[in-house]
Order: sequence, then C-alpha cells, then structure tokens
Amino acid sequence: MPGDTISKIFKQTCEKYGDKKVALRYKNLGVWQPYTWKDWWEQSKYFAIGLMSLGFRPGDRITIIGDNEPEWYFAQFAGICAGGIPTGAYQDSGPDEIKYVITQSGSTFVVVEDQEQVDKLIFDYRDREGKEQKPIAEEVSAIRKIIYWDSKGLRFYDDPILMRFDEVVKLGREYDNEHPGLLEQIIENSDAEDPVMLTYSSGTTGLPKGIVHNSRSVLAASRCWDLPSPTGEKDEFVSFFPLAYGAEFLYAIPAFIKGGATVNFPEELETVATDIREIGPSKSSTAPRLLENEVSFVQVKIADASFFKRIAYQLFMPVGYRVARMNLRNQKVNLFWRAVYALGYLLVFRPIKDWLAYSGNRAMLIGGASMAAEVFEFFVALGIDARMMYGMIECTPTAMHMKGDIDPETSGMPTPGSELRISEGGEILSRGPQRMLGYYNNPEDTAKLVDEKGWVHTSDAGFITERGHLVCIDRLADLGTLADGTGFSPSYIENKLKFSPYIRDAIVTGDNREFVGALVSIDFPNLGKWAEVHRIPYTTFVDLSQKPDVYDLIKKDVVAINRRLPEKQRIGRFALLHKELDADDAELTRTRKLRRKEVSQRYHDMIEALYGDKMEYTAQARVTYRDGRTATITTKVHIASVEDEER
Amino acid sequence: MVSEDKTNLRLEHLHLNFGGVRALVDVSLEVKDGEILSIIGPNGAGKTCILNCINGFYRPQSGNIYFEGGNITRLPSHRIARLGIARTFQNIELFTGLSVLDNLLAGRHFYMAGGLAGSILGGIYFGKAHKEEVEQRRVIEEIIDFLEIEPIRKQIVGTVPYGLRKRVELGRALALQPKLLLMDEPMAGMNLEEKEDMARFILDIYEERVSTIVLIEHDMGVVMDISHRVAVLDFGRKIAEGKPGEIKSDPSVIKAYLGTGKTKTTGL
Repeated sequence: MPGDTISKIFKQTCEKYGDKKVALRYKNLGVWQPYTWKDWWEQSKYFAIGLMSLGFRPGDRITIIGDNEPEWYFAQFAGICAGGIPTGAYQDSGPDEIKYVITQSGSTFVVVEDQEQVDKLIFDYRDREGKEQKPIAEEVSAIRKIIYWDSKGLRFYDDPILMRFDEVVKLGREYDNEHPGLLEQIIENSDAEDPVMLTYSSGTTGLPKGIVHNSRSVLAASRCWDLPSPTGEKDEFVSFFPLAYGAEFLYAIPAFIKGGATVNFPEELETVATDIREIGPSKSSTAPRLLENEVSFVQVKIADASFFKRIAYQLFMPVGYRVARMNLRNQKVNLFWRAVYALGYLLVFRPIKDWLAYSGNRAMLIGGASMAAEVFEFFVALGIDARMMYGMIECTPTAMHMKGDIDPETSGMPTPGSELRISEGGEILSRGPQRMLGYYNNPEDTAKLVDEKGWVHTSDAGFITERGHLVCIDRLADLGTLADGTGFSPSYIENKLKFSPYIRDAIVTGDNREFVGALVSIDFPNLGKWAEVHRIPYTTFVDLSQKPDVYDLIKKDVVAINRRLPEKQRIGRFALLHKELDADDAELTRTRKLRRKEVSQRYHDMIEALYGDKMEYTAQARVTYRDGRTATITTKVHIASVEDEER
Repeated sequence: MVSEDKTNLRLEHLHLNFGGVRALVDVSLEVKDGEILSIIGPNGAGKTCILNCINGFYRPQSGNIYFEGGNITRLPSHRIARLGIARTFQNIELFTGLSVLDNLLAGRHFYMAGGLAGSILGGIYFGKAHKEEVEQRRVIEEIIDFLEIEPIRKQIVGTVPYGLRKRVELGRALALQPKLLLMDEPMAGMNLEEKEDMARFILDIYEERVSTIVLIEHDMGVVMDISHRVAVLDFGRKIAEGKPGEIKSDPSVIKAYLGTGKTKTTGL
C-alpha cells in the first residue's frame, strides 16, 4: 500500500513540492532562512546514505541531542529513511542521563548540535553521586561516530570519532554516485509495522523507559491530532518543545508532512516568545504549564497597564467568560451578548491574542497533565478553539474534546478507534491503534503496562461522566487520604494554586495527616515585579520568598482557592520554598512535571515541619550545578497557617 | 597558534609620568603573534596605562610602540584602530541610548565606504548604500550569533544587564575585525557563571576570530588557565614575565601580588 509509512509519505511530499514550497524555516542571523522540501529531502537523503557508508544498517539506532533546529529533523528523517530508529536526549541533560539513553538504545551514531554536547561525550565527567567517570565515547564502544552540526569552538578538536554534519552529507553524495538508488529501495521496502520512533519517558517514576512506535501508531496518533482542523499547505507551526520529548513527532509532524505545511524553528530558546509572534502559527500543540504561564503573564501585564486598558480588561473579561461558557454549553448566545463580545474582542481579546501569538491560531491542542478549568476558559474567552487531549506517550491521544462537545472540566470523548474503561480500582484503561509497540528491550515493563487483551493500564485515576467524557483526576499513586478518611487529589489543588500569577509550582501534601498542606514555589519574575511596584526591597529569590508581605499576598490567593475547595480539602498551612524547583535537581522532569517521590523525600523534613508546632524551619538545600558541582544553602523558612475562619 | 619568531606588538622602554607620578617606568614587552598575554598586577600598577598608551589615549614621555613592525607611538587613536587594534574598557563605554545593534554597527564604521552622499542615501535605503547596509548587518549578526546575544539585539543598551553589556562591548570590538584585541578586565564584577561564560568566549574568539589577545584581569584562576604568557606589573615596573606556571612560583610576584599569607598573622 503506498504512503503507509513515514518514509514513504515524506518522500512523496518532497517530490510533490520540490523546491516550490518552503518546508522548514529557521531564524538565523536575525532572518528567517527557508529550506524547501527539496533541501530537506537532499539533506536527509545524503546524510542517511553517508551514515550507511559509515556502517549504519536498517534497524540501527541513532541518538540526536540538540536544540530545535532543522538539522535535528534532517538527522531524524535520515534515520527513518535508512530504516533505523532515531531517538533523542534532552539538550540540557547531564552526561549520565545521556549515557543512559545511548546505552539503553544501543545507538551506533550520536548526532549532536555543538561543542557543549560534544564535551559531554568526549571528556571525563562527574556523575550524580560525584564520582569521576570516563568519557562516554570511550566507555560505550558501540558508538562509531559523533556527528556535530555547529562547529563553533570545535576547530581544534581532533578526536577521530568526531565528524561534521556536512562531511557526512558529502560522503553520502559520493557514495550515492557509486551506488545509486540504495535509499529509495529501503524506503520502497519499508513497512507500516517497522519501528520509526524511540522516545524516553520523562521518568516521573524510576528510570526512563524507551517507548517504541511504528509508522502505523504514529499515523493513528497524528490523525487524531488533525481532527479539529485538518492541516493544509498554508498552515504554520512553531517547533519549540524539546524534540527529545517525542510528542511533536507523534502528533504534528506526520500531519504537516502529509498536508505540506511549514515548520518554523526559533532562533534561540530565549527568543521563542518574539519569534512565535513573528510567525503567528495557525496550529499549536501546547501544555498546561505553558498556558498557566501565559495567563499569569497577561494578569501581571494588565496590572501594570494604563488605566484605560485595566478598565477595559476588567469590564470585558467577564463578558468573555460568560459567552465562552454559553458556547461551551452549546447555548444560543443572543444578539446583545454577541454585540458586547464583539466589542470586547476588538478592544481586549484580539490584542491579547496578538501578544500571545494566537492571532492566526485555528486550533490549540492541549496535552499532558491535567489543568485548571479556569485556565482553559480563559483561552476560550479569547475566542480560541481550544481542545484538551488525554493520553500518555505510550498510547495517545485516547480522549479528546470533539467539536461542539467541550467541557473544561474533562478531557473529552474517546478518539476514533480507541476505547476507554475504568477498572474496578478506579484506574483509566485505554486501547487503540495509537498504542506503542512496547518498551525498548524491556518486556517486563511492557507486560506491566499492557495486558493480554491490549488494554493500557495508565496508572491514572479517573471516571467517565454522564456525557461520556473522561475525567483524569490524578496519578493513582498520588491520590491521598486525610487522617479522617477524606480523599483528595494533590495535583488538582496544585493546579488551582498555579493559576495564581505569583505561584510557579506547588507541592500539596496531606496523606494520613490532619489537614492539607502546601509547599509553594513563587514565580520569581512576576513576584519580583510586584515587589518593585509595592516598594519592597529584596535581593535574591530566597530573600523575596521569605518576605512577610509576600506571605500575605500568597495567603490571599490561598484563601481564595480554599473557598472553591470542599471544606475538608482546604489548605491549612503553607510555606514558601526557598528555591525554585528544578529539573537539574531531579525535582521536575525535563518536561517540567513534578517528581512527587523525589520531592517528598527531599523536602521530607520541611513537610514534617508543616505539621509540627514550630512555625519556622531551617532548610538546607543542596544545589547541583550543570557540571556536577554541588553547593549547600541554609535558609530559615516560615510556615504560615490559614486561620479556620479563613478556611 | 603562537609563533615564536613573529612579533605582533612590541613596547620599548615606555616611560609615562603624570606630573610627579611615575605611572610606567621603563616597560618593555613583546606580544607574539597568536598568543594570549595577560597583564596582572595590584591596583594602580599601571596595567590600564599600558593599554591606553597602545591605544593612543596617552602619550608616553619616552619609548616606542611598534605594531606589526610600524611605529604607532604618536598616531592618533582612530588611526591605530584602523590598523587593527580594538579594545574593551573596564567601565563599559557604550552608547547607552542606542540599541545593541546600533552599538555594534558603530564598530563597523571603518568598513562603510559610502561617504557622505552614500550615508544620506543609506538613510533611505537606496542602491549601493542599501547593499552596504545589508553587508554590514550580516557581519554584525554573525557576531551576535557568536556571542549569543540574540534575545537582546533590539534592546536599548541602557536597559541591558551589566554582564550582557560587557558582552555587547566585546562584540563592538570584534566588529572592527581586529588583528589584536585588548581587553581591560573583561570579568570584573561578574559572578562565577558569567566568568566561565566569558572565559569560554575569550577562548572561542582566540580560536575563530582574533589570533592575538592582550588581557588585563584580576581573576588569577582565569589568567592562569587561559593565557600563554603572563606579565606582572608593580608600581609601573614590569617585575616578571613568563609562562603561568613560572609566574605562580616567582617569589617577587608572590611578594607583590599574590601575597605570602604570613605577614598578617605575625602582626596581630
């Protein structure tokens, strides 16, 4: 069957558009540099043949490490076209994390961006425990070549294992002259069941597991992603999620290749916000965390804005919410409200959409962890077609908001071809064509996840509403019970807390305790601005987090949230963390999800103090720098209690 | 790479007095082609005076300075810059009201050939002047990419944080495409991370852009790590010169600068 594998579809599209259409755009030297489909095809093709001339065989793995740049895709599609399995490691991972990915996947080639990544591979390093380790390139004998695409600072590196990206492409051109048609043959023989993608789970629990998908499951996932609005030639997409995460390849890329759309790469991670605005992507995949930040950003900016703008925002935002809710309930919006909304759109919503780079947006798909309904409604109020999606990378998306059937409290209906069920233990089970092949070289864990009948045990607790919508409450293991038997979901309360512009992260506790407690990590930039406006002098994160005024401010937010929580689940005490939660300290995953187990161990004493008699706690935090050095910081952390009448 | 026989810059018996203050006393120094030479010394030792003499900001009362064989002692600053000597300053000297881009473009003015008519036409982007603008912008963008300051490219320098301003100033010096780069305390006032970044940039510049660098720096760790040779000044006199290892163990240097660690304890 033609066009049933990623490599066949890729080749067809490249042939169809050739040099007539832009496939990728990368902002470099301040200018958007276009790459046509022909450019992409040639880079991937000759890179693939170059790899093959160096000994790459179908089925081999290749690890890619770097920022979102065209070369990432070139290498990835080269790997796929050559019948191999590309995988990625996060560009900010330390050497031990990278070593794990390379050895677990058994990669023979490593393609990296620049000197920073090369150094991680060819020099001695210290691991997490601080032990000296030999270079990865020496230890892992399977690695044949390390290929880099940005040669800045690498001029005097003469390790024979290193090679430049364009050297491999050149090698490929020469080899192709001698053996023409080699790659085309492999693409022709490719099968929908062949694995095309290997991505490592974020490791919220234990070591990362390699998730393998084939063309069939990737295309099934991508078809669901395309449901709200099919991708066409005019669509623009901005790639800024770490490519190692794999979600982008799973959902967006097959749809874009099929539709002939354009993918844009920002200049640097720091310039993403301005670059996205320049592009105004028509379709976006996003995560709750980013949307929470955007809502905070708007709230802070409005508080800073001129009088007229503030009034307009306060006047029209409730209108937006009102109309959004009517629309979500499929109620008819009468002429009056439509007229008021139109005015609000002109004055408030459209400018905000423009600032958040959603002016060209046709569909926004939100995947990942659960999110507060308030955040979702905010974007609907702006007039954006937002949809929640549910699924774990192992089998996703299995539920999704369908047109005209959207409920901000849920994740929507099962996607076409998938089934959802709640087990007796309250666990969400799902089944569908998007399911992965299995965990790479890990049959035990695969068997734990997928039962004989093909049901994926998600470890998420949830239920199905009367409308047939799925609601994901929390991770099953995270659900807590208070001493008096009241059940509560930490992440549900955490999400409510994170809606505050001044709260970046929160850890909610209370399992087997008298009441619910929270460790709150402040949003430093937003709160810093607030402090400036209110003339509160501060020096560092630690200093700001422990100011009594800041405690009062956060307390107000906590009290407001408490009002919307069932009485017994209300937050009784909280403390402001003296440091930001960080993936480098293994407190968050690289995709910024809370690693609850690590965090509760790490802050064990502080959590104990939340329930103790003293309203103060002396914290000693160990900070790990990127290069493995550590330092200890000692701080006094106050504990605030939210009085009963306020609760 | 350092070439032993080719001299880039030579100072011969420099004397510089401000009234009764003898800022430089008979300082002779050779900078070889392709080396990183650091000048260290206590405060007021005359380190910056040397750079100011090379630059033509100060005129030494006697002695000569040769750059690539030519005598530059009496040349005005702009002529010296045109010969290929660029520098950065200890207390950042940028146009704080202009954007980062404009500051960097200012460093390119020697390379703009348009003249008065061209500049006027350049203002309305026409013909040759337009082409020239694009050409200069490309050079600048490469420097921006090199120094990783893309996010602040359009910001007004006055609003840019200190550590980044240092980098912008370095960018402006690079815009001159110099053969010799003089850096006056590039790491002063920086935190550890910024210092490490700057050290990396200096090494990258040495590898990719400018082959000869003269560095004034107080941070001993950095100096010992990245320089090929070190010269030590004390009260306007050069008291030592040599490889980092030799300097570290030189008794006169330890006495003047690094400290013996004994004097304090006996007194108190």
